Amino acid sequence: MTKILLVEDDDIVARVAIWRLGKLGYEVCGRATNAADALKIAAEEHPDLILMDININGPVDGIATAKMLKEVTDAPLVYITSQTDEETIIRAADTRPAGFIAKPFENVDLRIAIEIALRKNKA
Amino acid sequence: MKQLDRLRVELQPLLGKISPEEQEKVLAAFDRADKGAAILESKYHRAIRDRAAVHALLKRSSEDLVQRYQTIFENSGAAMAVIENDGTISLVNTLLLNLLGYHREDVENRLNVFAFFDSRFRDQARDYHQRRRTGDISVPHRYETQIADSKGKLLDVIIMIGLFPGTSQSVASIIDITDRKRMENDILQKNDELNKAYGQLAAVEQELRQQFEKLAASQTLLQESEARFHGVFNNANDAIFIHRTHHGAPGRFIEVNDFLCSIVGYTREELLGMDLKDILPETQLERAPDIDNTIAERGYNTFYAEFRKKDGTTFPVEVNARIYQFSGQDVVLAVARDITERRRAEQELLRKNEELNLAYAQQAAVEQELRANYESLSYTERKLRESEAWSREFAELLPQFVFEIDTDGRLLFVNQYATEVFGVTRETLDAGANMRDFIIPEEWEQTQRNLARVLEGKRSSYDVYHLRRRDGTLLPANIYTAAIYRDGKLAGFRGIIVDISDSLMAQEALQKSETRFRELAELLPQIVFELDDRLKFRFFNWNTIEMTGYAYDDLSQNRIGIYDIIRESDRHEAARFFAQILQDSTTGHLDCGIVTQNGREIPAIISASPIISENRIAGVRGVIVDIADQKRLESALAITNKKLNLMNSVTRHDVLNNITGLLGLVDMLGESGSPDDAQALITEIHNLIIKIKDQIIFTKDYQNVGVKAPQWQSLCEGIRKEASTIGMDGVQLHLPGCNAEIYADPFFSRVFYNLIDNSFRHGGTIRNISVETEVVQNGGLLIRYRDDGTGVSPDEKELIFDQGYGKNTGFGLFIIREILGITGLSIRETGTFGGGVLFEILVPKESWRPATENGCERT
Repeated sequence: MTKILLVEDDDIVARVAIWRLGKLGYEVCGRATNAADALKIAAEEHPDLILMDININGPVDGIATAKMLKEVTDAPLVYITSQTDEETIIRAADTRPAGFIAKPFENVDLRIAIEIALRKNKA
Repeated sequence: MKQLDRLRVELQPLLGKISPEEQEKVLAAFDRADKGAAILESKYHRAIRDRAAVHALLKRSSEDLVQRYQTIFENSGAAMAVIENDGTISLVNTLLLNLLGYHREDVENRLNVFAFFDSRFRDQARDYHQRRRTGDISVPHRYETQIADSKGKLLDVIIMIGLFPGTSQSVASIIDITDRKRMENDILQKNDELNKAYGQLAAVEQELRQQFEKLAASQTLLQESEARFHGVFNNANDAIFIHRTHHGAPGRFIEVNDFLCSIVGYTREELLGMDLKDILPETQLERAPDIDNTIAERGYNTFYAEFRKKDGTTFPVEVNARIYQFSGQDVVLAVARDITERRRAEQELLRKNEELNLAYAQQAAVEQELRANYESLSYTERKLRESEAWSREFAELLPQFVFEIDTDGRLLFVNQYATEVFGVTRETLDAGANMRDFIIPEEWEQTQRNLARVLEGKRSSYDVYHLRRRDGTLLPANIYTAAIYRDGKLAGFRGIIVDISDSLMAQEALQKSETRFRELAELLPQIVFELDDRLKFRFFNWNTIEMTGYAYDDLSQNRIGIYDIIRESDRHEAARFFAQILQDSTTGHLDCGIVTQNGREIPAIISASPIISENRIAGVRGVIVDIADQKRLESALAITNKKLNLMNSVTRHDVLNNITGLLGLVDMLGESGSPDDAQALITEIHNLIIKIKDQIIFTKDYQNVGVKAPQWQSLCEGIRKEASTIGMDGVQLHLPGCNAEIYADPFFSRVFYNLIDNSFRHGGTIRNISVETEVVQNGGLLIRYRDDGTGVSPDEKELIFDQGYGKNTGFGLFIIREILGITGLSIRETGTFGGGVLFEILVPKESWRPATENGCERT
């Protein structure tokens, strides 16, 4: 079963995402609300994929956290965000993510993005 | 001795002719000679006695001659030696050994007697020795010679020598006379000296005799010369006198001649008892030392002077004076000539000469004046002709009315222009045309007044006249006149009538233009100004007063200059701006701040260009545009853009985030298995919808921030109102002791709503909230908001002001900073983590004021 690390500071969004991922047959190996927790869980759980919100708690945002995660894991990373302004998109693209999911999302959005990311990573 | 006595007798008469020192020397020499002679005589007598003793001994020892021979030989008292035929010394006594300094064994039978003789006498001795043995009786048995002792010292000796009878042996007796010889030499030397002294004395005597003879001859000559001199002296036709001189002052007469006596009226005896100054008038006494000094320096002097006669009258003299030595003193020999007649003749000549010169000068001056007058007249006439021709031509060419009138106003001359415009012709002139024909009656009095001014020597006035043209129309003009005098009497006036119709029209147009410019300038909502080249106001519109708040007099009297209304930080740039306009004649714009009289700053743009007058830059003209509204618009536009971006963010992020949750909850609700789960999900969905509603309401509030103009509002009232809205629920609120009014956005009180809300939400258990104020050094007001809650961690002190940061909506502190920033207020958190928050809000001095109801004052 594919293990997914979810980095999301909003409790309801996280709860909904975990419920949807479960319904889609993925295992959420951990949830973080800030960069430090994300790095810690990634190092411990070795997830197959990381779902990363851009606007998270703490001084380090999701894009900066994604850069740091590359030091500890090769797992593909997919951004989940409502911020679709050009500046944010360019900053996020610089971290070479495996996918991008815009809020609000539904099951099918998650599934397509995750599967593409996993296959790209295997290739 | 006899010789000395004879010499003494001969010298005796001469001793009285030499000096005492010389006499003493001569007598001393005689004494020494006497002593030497006495010693010599004594030794001579002793030698005679010694020789007698030897003969006596020889006689007594005739029987035992051989035995006693040695003893006698040794004790004879004379130095003796026995000499063999070949000259060998076979026997020598001790005295001879002592005399010569030899030992016996070195001499006897070893040395030849001739070895002792000086080389000069050796041959003589050998000759005597040989001849003596031949029986030659001419060989002296006694002679003086010189022998040398063992050290080579020469000794003067007398040798007495004789042959032993019947033998070839000789016996020699040697007497040392070295001392006697020296004495004799001394005496001879002294004798020479005495002879020499005698020779000198004789020469002196001879010279004295010659001198005496010369003196005798001179005395005769002198007596003859004196006789001649006396004759010349007393028969001369000039005054001759000799006088002493003392340190440059003329002294006592030593000798005067008869002529001097006759011309000054004193006897010779009287004059010889007088000084030269006694015959000098007072006026000459001052010069006398100078004259005598000149004589002393040069040895002679020729000068003019005056002598005073015994009767007190004076007369001029020409004096030739020479200084010479008389009886060891300087005296002056002077020859004075009475030049009274010569002076008189000279004066007469001078007077005649002056008369002639004067007459000549007068004649020359008259001639020169005549010439000058003639040339001047010629030149003046020529110039007058030229000037008249030029003036006439000029007058004819002038596009003005040139005229000449008599005292009645009758026209005597007019130029071509007058003919053309006013129809004045030769005929009308002849017919008696008058200036009154052209000047309207209402201005006759003005004309008379103007002519009166001219007659008083003043310039014509600039009064405007209206002259009637030929076609009947009136010509506005100025009339400039000058009086004409002939033979000192007023003959009329000459003048020019200047057409000023164009000038009047131009002036009118200029006035209209200026009026338009002024009206326009006054209508403009900007400052319109003109500065002179020293950047002082020379024109400003009313809006300048309105905008700056300065009084009209402050600006018009240059108490306030352009730099005074420019913000201090912009003055350097403004100086460069105006300097460039004045220097390069460029037009430019300067973005700067204008400072009003009460210190308010207004953002403005100065647009200025140079004022060109008479081909030079005479100042600066420009406008100052108040761009406060423009700045506000720019600021508002920036705020609007920011708000748009923020609201986009809210819409996209927060609302979409909640919608994401909402959609998920709805999907979960659809699959919920129990009514309780469904009810729980429905509650959550409801809450999320409320949250979305709050976010939308917030965007509405935020949209209103900065939309309405800032206003003065009470600090304490706002805090109380917001605290009341929240409800303090047991928390103590402490407000500042003195109230202040803050110039800020109408949402200013929401700042404290958010701060109190944050204290409740994030501060944990809090008991007290306080707000304090302090006037700080730069005049600003510092507002401190404190609580006694958890506080803010150091790494979050700045992050808490970011949009989206926080545990609730993330808009609280972000909006607070936005609201405050509209009027320049700032906020920061400086509290100690764990000791509660401390927010410091700094209000600029221009954005706060003490509330009217209390005594809060600025520093």
